[in-house]
Amino acid sequence: MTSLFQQRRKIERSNNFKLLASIIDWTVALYIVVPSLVIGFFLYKDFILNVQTSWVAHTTPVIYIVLLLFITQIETIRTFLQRADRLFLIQNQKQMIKLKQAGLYWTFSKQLFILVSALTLLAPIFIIVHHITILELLILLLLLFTTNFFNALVKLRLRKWQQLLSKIVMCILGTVFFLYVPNIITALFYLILFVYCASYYYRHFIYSTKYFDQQVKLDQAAFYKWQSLLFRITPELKSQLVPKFTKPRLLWKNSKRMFRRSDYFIEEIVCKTMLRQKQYRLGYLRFLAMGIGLTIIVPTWGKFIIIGMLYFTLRSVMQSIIQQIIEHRIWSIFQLSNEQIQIAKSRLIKGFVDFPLCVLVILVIFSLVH
Amino acid sequence: MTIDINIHKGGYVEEEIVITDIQFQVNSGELVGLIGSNGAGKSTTLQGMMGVLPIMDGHVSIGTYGYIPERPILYEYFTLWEHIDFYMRVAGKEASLTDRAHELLDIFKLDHKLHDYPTTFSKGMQQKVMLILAFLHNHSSYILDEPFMGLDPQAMRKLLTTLDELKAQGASILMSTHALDTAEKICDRFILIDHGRILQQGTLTSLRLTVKQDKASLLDIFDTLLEENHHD
Repeated sequence: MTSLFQQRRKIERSNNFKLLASIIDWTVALYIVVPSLVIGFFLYKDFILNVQTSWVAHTTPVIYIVLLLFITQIETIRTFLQRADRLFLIQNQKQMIKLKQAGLYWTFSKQLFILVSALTLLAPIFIIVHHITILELLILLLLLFTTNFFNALVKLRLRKWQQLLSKIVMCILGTVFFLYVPNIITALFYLILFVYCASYYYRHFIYSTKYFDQQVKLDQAAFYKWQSLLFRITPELKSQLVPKFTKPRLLWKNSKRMFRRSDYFIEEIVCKTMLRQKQYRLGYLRFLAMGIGLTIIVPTWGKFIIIGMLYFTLRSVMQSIIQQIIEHRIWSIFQLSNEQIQIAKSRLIKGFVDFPLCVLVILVIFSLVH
Repeated sequence: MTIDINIHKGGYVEEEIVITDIQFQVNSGELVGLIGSNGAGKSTTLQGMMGVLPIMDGHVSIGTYGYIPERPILYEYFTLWEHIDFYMRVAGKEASLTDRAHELLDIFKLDHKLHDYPTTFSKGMQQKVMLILAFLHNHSSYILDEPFMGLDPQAMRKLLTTLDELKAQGASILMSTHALDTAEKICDRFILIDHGRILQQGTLTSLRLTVKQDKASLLDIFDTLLEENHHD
């Protein structure tokens, strides 16, 4: 059955990879992910070195426990079940149990990885600022792990408002136990709770098929988690349908020319598409806003690196938008020369990339001088 | 002679040649019908003429032309006004809405939809937009791929009138269509195509002589030629 689990994991992994590849090309990875990791590392290093004198020194550990409980929660205990399993797998109980077990262990491994990573990142704050020992951190790991598992179980049985109530209660309980109850009692309590939860899950959700439909539904939601997230951020990707509105709602709604000169028709099509196509508009603005935000946050040496990165990112974003517009079928009716395209591209890059970045550089220099 | 076509071979991929030995002319003031079954190679021939066929070996002389594609090609984020303006600008014209544009908008009853997106129009209305855009300028030739598709009877009549006017002005028109009854009435000559090759070409009278049927319709002629071709 491990092979079935592996097979379904492979399908999910390839699905997620395809999704990622469809939204991020290698240029984005090169210009954003790699530099972000490098800058992130140095910022984190700076932060840790000055942790005792920074604002973090005045915070209470309660904030971190609450934050961790809400950030690291288990969304679904994976089962990797599919609807068709009702026809085929439900008759083979042994195989189905093994598949569900594999799903549970997968969920546990993922949760453990997330918690260990989060606690490792926060460890300097806990150890240096709040004088928490390694043993206490391990107990916190058990506490968070069990609480998240308990909350995930509650999701399977209780209503939404009950889930919220249970989350709040468990959060308060966890904080009280960690801060005010002796370590040994906390560890024992959460260990017992974990064993109880695990046996409950085994009894009702692994050995029983009573909640099959619900488990399938939740697992499907987990399978399409990234797609759902992407569609929430950019709803227009949900379908390839053309916009439903009948008239332009924003600027130039009365179909006037943006550029008076008649030879600026490529510029016109790109600018109007940028205005009316949410995906393009938001894509460009997101990068610009992120870049400006980071320029404000990072130290002086980082500002110019961010501006450099922003330049290449915006350039590749704009080039890819222009390319997509140039590849539209409408151009099969007209013959455009490469020269026409290159001239228009260069003007558009100047307007959308060079101009805002020049303004940003001037503002940064101005702020540094004063 | 304003359209002169001599395509040795053409297709979308090297391994699959769709059209072979397509050779014909369309004279000034002549309307020629390109007739064939689905997948016979009509649209591929037209694409080859326009130079947008990926694999193409041959010679095409066509001059400036207006084109109506098989399916309306519209830009999702442009209004009808912007489409017209765009077509004018690409042609190097300064004005957006010329008298001709107003006239065509009036003929095809789309003047009240100027600031709407054509991609939200019905199929017939989208076809009317393509007709307006194709007839905006005075070209020496016109390539029409299924121009009657989705048109209502009134629009069809107006299109036929427009085609007559263009012919009278000396334009060469090549039209691919499945509407054989209409083609029979309006075309001066026909090119019958099957499996990417020309079966026969000529006037209706000469085609009737070829199949030895005095009163045969264009459909009868086409069927007979297809049958003969398959027997061969």
